[in-house]
Amino acid sequence: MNGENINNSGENKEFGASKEFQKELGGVAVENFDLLSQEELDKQAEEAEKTRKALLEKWIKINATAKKIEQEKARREEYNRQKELAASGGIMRLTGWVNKHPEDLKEFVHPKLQSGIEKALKEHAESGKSFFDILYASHELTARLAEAEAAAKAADAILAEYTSGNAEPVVVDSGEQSSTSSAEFDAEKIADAALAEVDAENGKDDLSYPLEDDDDYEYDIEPVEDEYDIDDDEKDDNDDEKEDDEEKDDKAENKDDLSYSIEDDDEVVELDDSNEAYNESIAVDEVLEEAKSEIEKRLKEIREQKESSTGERVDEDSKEDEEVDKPKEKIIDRVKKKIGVRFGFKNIIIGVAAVAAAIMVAKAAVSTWNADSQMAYAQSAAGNNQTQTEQSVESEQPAESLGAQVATVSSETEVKAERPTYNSKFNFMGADEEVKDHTLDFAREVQEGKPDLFDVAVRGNGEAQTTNNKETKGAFGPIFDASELEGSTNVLSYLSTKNDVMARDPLYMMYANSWNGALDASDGYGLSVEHMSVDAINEAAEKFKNASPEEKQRILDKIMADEAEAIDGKTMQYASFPANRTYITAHMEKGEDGVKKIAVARSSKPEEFNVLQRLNANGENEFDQGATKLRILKAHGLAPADMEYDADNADVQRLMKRYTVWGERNKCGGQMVITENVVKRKVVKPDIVERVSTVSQEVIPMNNQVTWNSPSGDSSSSSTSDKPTPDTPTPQTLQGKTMTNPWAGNNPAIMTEPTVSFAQESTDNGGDRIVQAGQEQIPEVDTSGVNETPEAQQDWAEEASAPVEDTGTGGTEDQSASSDAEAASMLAEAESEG
Amino acid sequence: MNSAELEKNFDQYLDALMEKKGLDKMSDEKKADFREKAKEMLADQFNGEVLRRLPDDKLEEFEKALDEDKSIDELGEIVENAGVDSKKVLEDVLNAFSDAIMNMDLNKMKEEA
Repeated sequence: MNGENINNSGENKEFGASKEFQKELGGVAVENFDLLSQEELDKQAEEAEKTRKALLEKWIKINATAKKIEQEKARREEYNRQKELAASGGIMRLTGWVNKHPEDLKEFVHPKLQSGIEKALKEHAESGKSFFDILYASHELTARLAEAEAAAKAADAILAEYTSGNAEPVVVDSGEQSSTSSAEFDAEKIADAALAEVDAENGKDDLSYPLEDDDDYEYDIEPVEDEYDIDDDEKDDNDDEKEDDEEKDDKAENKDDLSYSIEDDDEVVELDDSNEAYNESIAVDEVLEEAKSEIEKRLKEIREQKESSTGERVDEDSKEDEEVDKPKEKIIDRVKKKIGVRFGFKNIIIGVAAVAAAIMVAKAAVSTWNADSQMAYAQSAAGNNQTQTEQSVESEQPAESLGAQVATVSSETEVKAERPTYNSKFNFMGADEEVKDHTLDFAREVQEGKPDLFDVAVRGNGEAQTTNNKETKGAFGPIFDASELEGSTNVLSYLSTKNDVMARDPLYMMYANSWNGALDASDGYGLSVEHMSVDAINEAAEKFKNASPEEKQRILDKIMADEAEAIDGKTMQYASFPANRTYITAHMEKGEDGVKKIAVARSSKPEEFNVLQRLNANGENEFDQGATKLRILKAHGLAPADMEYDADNADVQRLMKRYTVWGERNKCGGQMVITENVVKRKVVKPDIVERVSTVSQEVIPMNNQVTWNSPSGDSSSSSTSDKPTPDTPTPQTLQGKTMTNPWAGNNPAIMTEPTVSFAQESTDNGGDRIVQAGQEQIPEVDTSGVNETPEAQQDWAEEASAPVEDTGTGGTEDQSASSDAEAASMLAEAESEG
Repeated sequence: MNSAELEKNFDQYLDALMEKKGLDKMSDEKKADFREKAKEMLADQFNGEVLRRLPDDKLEEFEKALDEDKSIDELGEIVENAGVDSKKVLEDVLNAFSDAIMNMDLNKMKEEA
């Protein structure tokens, strides 16, 4: 405004103010007093209003976007929660092989993730992408949503400040309708961009909510209702209705979004039929052809292993063998054709029952098939085969009755025998329900991994003791067929040797039960240990612990089958200890369902006898326990790790002598080897053990070199009056003898005594037995601290691993006296309990 | 268990195998084809393996008995007396078959096809 607006008459052109009026104003010059016209003001007001409206509109949009983000975030959280559920169900644990067998994953996935899984599987099959990449791709969206959320919050804050009137004046530029600040604008842009990205991922074009009425300025700035509330329980009816509509829309637009699949079980994204088409594309002939080739390969391996183990033919020159096999293969082809012509090509030469049983085994294997079990099975088989090879089964007798039910599949032969099932392996042989329950409960606990290995060992011992008590003869007793063996101590003896195994391995706890339940107590545990390496046992135990019953069945079947092969035709000798001094010789033969003991001979023998032998047809002890012992000693650091078992090696012999452990008389019966429970839990006190073993030193060379009467020839006849060999100690030959302990004093931690005398007395059941004499002069010897602490145990181990000297006779009178006293005490205890 | 039940049992095993491998989405016709051919192939493998484990003289004896129309029981006796554990052979065959199918890479087969 300036003087130009004042006309000559003195009137203001703009306002028509006269000079007079100007004077009235106090003579203030109005040249510089520039005022907007009403029109201009109206225009600006209108612009401001437009800006306000646009701003609010924008705010509404941002707010809606923020809400949407919030809802999306909630959905993602739920998705993640479900994912965690699924993970706890096994997804994560299976990542190693998921890409190989993704279809199996469905079994482990929470139902709400099924559709997502299926979609991922489909994509996986089609694209070859990692299954998990696909399944969890939406995690990236979550991150983007977080960015969008932050941007929206910033926009919200700026807008709030603006609407409160504290915002900076709005600068209205011509042609620029937006009235937000640049910061606000940026935030909005970021939010929109992020959402657009999310939308693109979700297959949606626009998540924003358009204003229904541009003229309605009554915007509700309260948070909008959460229309995406995923918690069904919290919805009210109105929300349900509204939500259903919204979700339907969303789902219609977001079929491809994995996250949506968790919203509603009813809205599972169905696979199209491409999977079916895929399966249809598989050529059955091709599949079977490949399977056939694998079968042939496997059978060849089995055949070769068998041939190798039986020494029939070692496959050293496969080409030569192939040449040799050619004519036979021709005959086989010819015979197969004849079988096919006569019985039909689907039929096989085997009994119906046998076919059914074999199918059952295969079916169980299929139902529990997974990579781990296959591996465990393979390892188990490898371990067994290896040992079998080492053991070289000497004589095989024809299977007892395998072919008795030979028939074709098409025949109407009735089933005469069923293979035992997992449960029927627990053949309790007349045990009452309580005992069955007790045993099964224990077995179940072992299965569930409740007792640790030592608990198993301790409990095993406890159970063993109960079998020695006539009143409580039960527990494990009745699961063994002790009837033939006359007396629970036979069972006790057997079971105590099983404890070695139990201590190491729940698998063998189960194994022992099933084995004995199905067979009897006379198979001897040595085979079990010999058959598998410690590592293989431990590994198998772990697998076994976590295995399903079907899988356990399969493992047990495998073990039993291998045991049956190894033991078939063998004669075993063992002795109960000490109560009834019965020595058992059992001739073992493989029966239809495992091993049957077909001949048992009993004889009264001295109690101090190294019990477990396996005699071959010539009556020679072929059971070499040394290797087992050495292995266990090595495991405990009691023998050099690189020491190989060699029965003729002097160092080995010395170690074997030192650690030949006998069972605590009234507890463990005839322990043959140092076991973990012996070493760590002191189930057997070394001094007692050593003393007991001492008794027979002079008469019975250590390490059980004495053979008893040969059970060959007429061993099938049960006898109680076998004639001992001249070297065999009997109550008569031991009567009045005094023997010298060749190791006395070798190891201060092990109490030894130089001499022991014997006397004979009658047993309650009319037999004879030996007791130690000369028990009167025994001062108390403090053996406390021996192996009582880890340090002491370590000391003992160090002592034990020190070079061993055969000092012949030795020791002190005190030691002798102490030993005698304790021996006498032990004997008295044994007698009173026995 | 009669032969029909046994056959059903066999089919159940094969069905379980197909399901486990995800082949159960094949058409019924195709599944039936799989069953029939699998049984024939398995029987062939089993018979061949039993004969393979027979000593040569027993194999000859077996063929002779077959030619003389000896009963299935008599044929079985020859197998039995030769110490061949035919049930174990069948288990070996079926387990090998199960493993072969389960380990089979169908995707690869499809690609190669």
